[in-house]
Amino acid sequence: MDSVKEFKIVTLGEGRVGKTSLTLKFARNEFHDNEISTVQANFIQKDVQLDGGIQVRLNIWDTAGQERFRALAPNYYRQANGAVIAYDITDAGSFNKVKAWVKELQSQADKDISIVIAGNKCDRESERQISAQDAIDYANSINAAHFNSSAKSGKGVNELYTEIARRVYAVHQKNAKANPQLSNSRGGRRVRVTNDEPQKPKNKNCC
Amino acid sequence: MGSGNSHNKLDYKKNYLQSVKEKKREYINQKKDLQMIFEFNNWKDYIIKEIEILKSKLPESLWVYELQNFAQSWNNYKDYPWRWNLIWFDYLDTTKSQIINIRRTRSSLQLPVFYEDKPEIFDAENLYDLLHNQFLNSNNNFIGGLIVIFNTYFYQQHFDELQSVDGWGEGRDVVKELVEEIKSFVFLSIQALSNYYGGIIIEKINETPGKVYDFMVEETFLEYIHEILMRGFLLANYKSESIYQEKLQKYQKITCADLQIKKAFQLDLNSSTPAYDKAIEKLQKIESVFSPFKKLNIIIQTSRMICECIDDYWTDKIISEEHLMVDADQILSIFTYIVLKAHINNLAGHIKIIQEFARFITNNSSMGYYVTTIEACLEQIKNMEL
Repeated sequence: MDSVKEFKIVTLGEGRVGKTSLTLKFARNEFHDNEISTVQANFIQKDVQLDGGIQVRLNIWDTAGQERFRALAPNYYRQANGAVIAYDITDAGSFNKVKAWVKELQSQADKDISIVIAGNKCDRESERQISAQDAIDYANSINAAHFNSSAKSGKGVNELYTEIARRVYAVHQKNAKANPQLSNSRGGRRVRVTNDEPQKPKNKNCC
Repeated sequence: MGSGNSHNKLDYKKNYLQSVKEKKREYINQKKDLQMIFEFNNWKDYIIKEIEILKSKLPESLWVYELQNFAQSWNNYKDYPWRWNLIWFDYLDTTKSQIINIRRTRSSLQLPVFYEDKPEIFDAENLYDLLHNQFLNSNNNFIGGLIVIFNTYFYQQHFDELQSVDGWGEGRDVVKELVEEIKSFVFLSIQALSNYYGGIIIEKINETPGKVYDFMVEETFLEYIHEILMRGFLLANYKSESIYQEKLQKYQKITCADLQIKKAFQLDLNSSTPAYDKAIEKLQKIESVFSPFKKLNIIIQTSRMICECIDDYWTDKIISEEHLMVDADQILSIFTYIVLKAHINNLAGHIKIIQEFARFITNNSSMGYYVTTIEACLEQIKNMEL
């Protein structure tokens, strides 16, 4: 049985930058368009294929963007392996919020958390307020990746989620090498119960 | 003629039983691991050793000593039928594709002979179902007995201590200590399970260790443990709980609009009854279930009910799908409304039970998402000033 490793990814960013739309775009082929019904867009699960035939499963947690919910964010990024922080390229203020999120994650989230920054709404290039180079330079300075994305056209969406998948998987592999599981030292009559177990690959693309 | 018929019947039965016996033997030979079960006559000694180890870890815990007494005085003879039933069940389960056209219920699993005065024959859909039913007979099934002894003495020891902070002892972390004791028992019970049942269970533990853990947590959580844990959580968080209760009172008449729920989801807009009534009723059920996974299930079902309520409300009305997308801001606001209306005492305790006993993989899945959302609602409510 091939096993799929699961990772928790949290999406952060100011309200209206398009966090939820990004995630939905990524998972789009999951939705059935012929029927009008309520869509829960706050949790999305999707398998991603990495180089070498490695498949990983992303559990993507959407977070509330409104300021009144700001203090609740730590509940959501607790134990997250990766974070996608989105901003709106047409709103300079939303990029400043990215920097605040990064600071917060660096001080409060898991020390190994991987970060990808999404400069969203890149279909509105003419209204751009943040220079693409500045955004890339900032991302490089904090060891994160940066992508221009558009939830509307789909540009950069798969790429940014594939990159976060690649990064969290790399961290997992590094940690697994550094901390190999201890063998059963007390004889064959003692069973070992691990904290998690591998899941079967899914046929569908997401939840 | 009559005598000839009964001879034929007896021969038929004899041949049938012989064939069953041969099939079992053949099956057991095929599965080498299963043979271990017959070498496990000394399983009790191994379990007693495990209890000894626990005694050094939890010297103050009354239940550990009681488990030791219980194990030492246990009559091994009682256990053969339980263990045989497990092998027989596994045999039926692995060969069921060969008898696909014959509707055979699992009632063919007979309870041991000493249960003839209580002839409850149960159906078991899977191995865990079978084990669960076996554990219910705690007088005759060793693992079932362990669970009852643990619950009884855990309750007895901690009930009085948890009347007040003084009773427990200032400076001690009540939640941490209680949770650690329960987890220690769960891990002991898994070791006991593998020694008691042998091959089949060891196979299961190797294949899906997390499921076995979940199952044993589920079996361990009888009403007694639940009550003690809830008391412990309340003792540790009584200030926070009283703030939450005050806010529940203060905002009992809150509307969807007050919570800035968007118009498409303000289901109380044209109605005097509370919106999301089905979801509220579902969430209230969290108080009447004891195990972490049953509580978790209630929360998942509540999240589904939210969608159902919205769908019901918009049936036969015109609205685009775009407006029916529940994002993180909206789900948080809707859950806050539901929590305020559901008025559940010590909701933080119910959440804590889930978080402490669910595995990492559960806590980070969609299930974990909704538990986190309820937890976030609690914080939101405690700080709410409208």
